[in-house]
Amino acid sequence: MLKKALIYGAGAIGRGFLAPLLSSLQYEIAFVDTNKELVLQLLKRGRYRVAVAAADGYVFKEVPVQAAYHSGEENGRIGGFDLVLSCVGARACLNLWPQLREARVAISCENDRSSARKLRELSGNPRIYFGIPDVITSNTAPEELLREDPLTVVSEQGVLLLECGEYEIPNEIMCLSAAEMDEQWACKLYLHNSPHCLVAYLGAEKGCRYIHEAMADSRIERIAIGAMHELKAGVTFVGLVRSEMANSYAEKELRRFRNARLFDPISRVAREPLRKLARGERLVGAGHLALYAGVRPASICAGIKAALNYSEPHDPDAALPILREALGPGETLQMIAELSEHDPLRRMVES
Amino acid sequence: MLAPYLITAIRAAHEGGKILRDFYGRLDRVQRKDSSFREVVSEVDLLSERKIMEAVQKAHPQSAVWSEEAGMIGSPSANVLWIIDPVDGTVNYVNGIPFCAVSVACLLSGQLFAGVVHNPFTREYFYAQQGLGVWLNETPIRVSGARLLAEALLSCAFSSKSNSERDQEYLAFGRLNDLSRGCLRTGSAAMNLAYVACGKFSATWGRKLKVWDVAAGLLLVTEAGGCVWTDAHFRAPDLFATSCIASNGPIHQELCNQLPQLLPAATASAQGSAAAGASLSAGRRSG
Repeated sequence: MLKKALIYGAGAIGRGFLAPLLSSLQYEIAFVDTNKELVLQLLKRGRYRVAVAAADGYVFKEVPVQAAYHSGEENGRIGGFDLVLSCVGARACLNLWPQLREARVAISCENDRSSARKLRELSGNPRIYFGIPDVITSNTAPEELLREDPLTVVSEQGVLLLECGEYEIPNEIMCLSAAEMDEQWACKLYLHNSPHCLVAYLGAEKGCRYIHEAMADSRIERIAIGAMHELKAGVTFVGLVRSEMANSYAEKELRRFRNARLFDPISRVAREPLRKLARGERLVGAGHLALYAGVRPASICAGIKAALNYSEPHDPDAALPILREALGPGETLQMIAELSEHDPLRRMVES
Repeated sequence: MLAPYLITAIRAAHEGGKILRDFYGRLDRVQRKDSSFREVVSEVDLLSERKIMEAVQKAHPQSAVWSEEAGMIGSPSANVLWIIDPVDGTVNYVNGIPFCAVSVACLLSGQLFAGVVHNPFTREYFYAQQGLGVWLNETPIRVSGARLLAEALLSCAFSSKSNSERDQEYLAFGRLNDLSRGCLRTGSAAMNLAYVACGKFSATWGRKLKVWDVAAGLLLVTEAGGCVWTDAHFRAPDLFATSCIASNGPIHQELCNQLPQLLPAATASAQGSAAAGASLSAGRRSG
């Protein structure tokens, strides 16, 4: 009998990566999403297509959809699933704690290392674990693929890393010790998320739509490579990541960013700039790490400046342009990242 | 430029707030404003006011400014009028209690258009522009979801001076305190309104208010989905009335039931009406 997986969030990671992975491991897939239209489409079609970027084109995977629920419709059914996964976004995921009380096993695949612990504490369910989807997925696809199937998403052959726990999972998914997860998380946060959003903000300034378009700009590529050096110095200096691991991870990421088949939208990667600019997060936190290592984070600061300049009226953080215009970059960083006027990173951004 | 008046208001409030922070806890002189020993003005009020006025006049030189300490500068009939309170909650401030605010409001053609309430000690900026939205720092805000007084934390601001209605004020204060999760008398009407806008308080009421105490805060509450009335009889809000009731909406009737004697149909302040002139008579918003 097939096992059952329920995925909260039918966006890039949920639809583009987790569902095809679990489907290939003999799980039936059900989604929960706040987008009513998407839920209706998934229900009506009963399947969709993932285009996995390969060296010479795309490999297409059909993903059968067993069920799709508009948020709230799944209540009372969660105990019937073998596995529940959350990929709804770091801001929204904590609101899932009441539903996760019933989960037999739940995995938080959010961009927040503390999300699983917080959900355990809120729900009282000890079987909530942290997962890292090491993958770039797009929540859209090139127009010619969308014409054939409007639900198509583009992804790559990624890896799902889970923290070890009292649950059974197919061998194809890697389970890591807490120390290994910490290193992977540091790589994800500082060697993937940091340069990824940095390229997105610089690309947005240039009017690019996709990450690979931004990387085709020689100045942006140069800054991305520079940032990667600063980031590697930071994470290795404080002992978060081993040197050889940092080098190989960084090379892999730069290759990914240049991959013209991924169609990774800048609007997705750049969204919620205020969260990404928060203290300890992927931009300001990364800049401080480089400073600890004695490296001047000039490229990271270029990314912070570009993030402060990001202006997207439909973004949840649409207040940023108002704050930046009213208070200037330094005071805005004081407000959102608690950078005092004496902070060297703030001084570099202001200079 | 996006939202130029709002941006100026935030910048000006920030400049005023810097003065409040710079001199916090370093004051040893305050002056009495009138016969009341609680109506005080400090050097900081005056310094903050000067900074705020410089900021708004630099950005919008044709506009008029009406401030608590300086009075009206420029023509009251100017198309753009700034209403400024350099320190709302001066008694708190001079006693080292960091619950006070700079309040800056912008009126266009007599209509409240943009407003900022800034507490420099908590680094909170509450700001709104008509039709654009309302935020606390980087986060959009909404009024609370309380449906009943029993679920609500309230606040109030009433005169610190002894007056003929003192017994009624304390009676209402006590009654509302008992029927809710508490009623705080905070010392800052501007912060009370800002806290209603972001849902920390579900309602606030005040008497003997001045226009600079409430101008920015009223806009915050209405833009955050709350409602504002002048009195317990649902008289339309008027910037120059001396009382107001602001709430999240659902508890408004229950709140007003407790206040009819205390907040009867109030008269507009003589100062407000005279200084504002005809162009501001329409400076009101319904909740």
